[in-house]
Amino acid sequence: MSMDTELEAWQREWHSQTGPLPSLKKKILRQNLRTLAAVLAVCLCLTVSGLLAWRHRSPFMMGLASGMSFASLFVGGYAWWVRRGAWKPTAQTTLAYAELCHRRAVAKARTVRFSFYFLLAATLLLAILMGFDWKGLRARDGIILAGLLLELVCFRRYGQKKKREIEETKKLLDDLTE
Amino acid sequence: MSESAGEGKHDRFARVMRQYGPALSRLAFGYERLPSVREDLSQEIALAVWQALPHFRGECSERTFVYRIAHNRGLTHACRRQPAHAALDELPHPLEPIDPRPHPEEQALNTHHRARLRSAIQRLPLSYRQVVMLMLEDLSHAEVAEILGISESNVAVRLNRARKALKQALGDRS
Repeated sequence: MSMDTELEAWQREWHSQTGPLPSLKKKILRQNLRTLAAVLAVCLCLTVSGLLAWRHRSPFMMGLASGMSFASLFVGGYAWWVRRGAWKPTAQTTLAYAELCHRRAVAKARTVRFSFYFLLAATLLLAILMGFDWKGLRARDGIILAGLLLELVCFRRYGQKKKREIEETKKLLDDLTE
Repeated sequence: MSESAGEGKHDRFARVMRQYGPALSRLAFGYERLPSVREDLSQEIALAVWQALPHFRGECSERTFVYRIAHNRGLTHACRRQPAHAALDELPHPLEPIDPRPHPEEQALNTHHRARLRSAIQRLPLSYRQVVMLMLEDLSHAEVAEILGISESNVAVRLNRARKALKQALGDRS
């Protein structure tokens, strides 16, 4: 079999294995729902903490609500700052896009690491404050602390996932530039 | 945006999907072998094309533009893939002949040869896989070079190596 005949045979086989066309509407709907759910979750957390602080007017709840709002703004700002230069590829090629994927993965990993340490500092601060008044601790305080610790574990695992993504993008980039 | 412009975008997307939809589905085969995940990837590719179409300024052919968007989406998928799937990229050198028995799911969907070709392509390193898939879509060396951002001579070298690897993987079928 000559090389050209061989390529033609492969082309015939390749073209005959076409799958069904994708249903885009479902995908867009799912994506919109995910985005909406994420935005709602953040808004809900901030609103609930704000309402509780307004209702109880205790220094603890006021501090918690302010802390959550500050953390959202601070981490969001950092994420935006760290991703500059990672919005568009430098050229309209797959290689440039692979570089962009790597830069984005690095930026995401940095944001996750920053969020983790920020949360760790907040948790430690809260634990110290609770320690000063350990006799007056209530179940609510324990739940908040446990929630923060759980969030730390989630961030840790997410950070490891992002680290793997960096390795994967680096590997692909090396593969494409060989 | 006016209503006619909106309809224009819809019409354009519908035409592009009619024209390149089957090719985009085939392309998803190259980046994902699990049928359920592949369907999702096909949708993501179509979505990426939908989002990118308004930004097409005619600097290259529409075909080049669509394939580039699709390959970039496939690349993102390859980056995010779990290690269980990533094993596809870890190709031993030289290529070992693949198991001649097709997967039962594939058996139901494809003939023996089609499944083997697909499987062999999926096992190629990404740089070879992309070139092979684009050549199988009948794109010229210049178009492949433009999409991937490499030189035409590099395309020829990669294609040559990929063909050798594919032949080795498929074995003598004549």
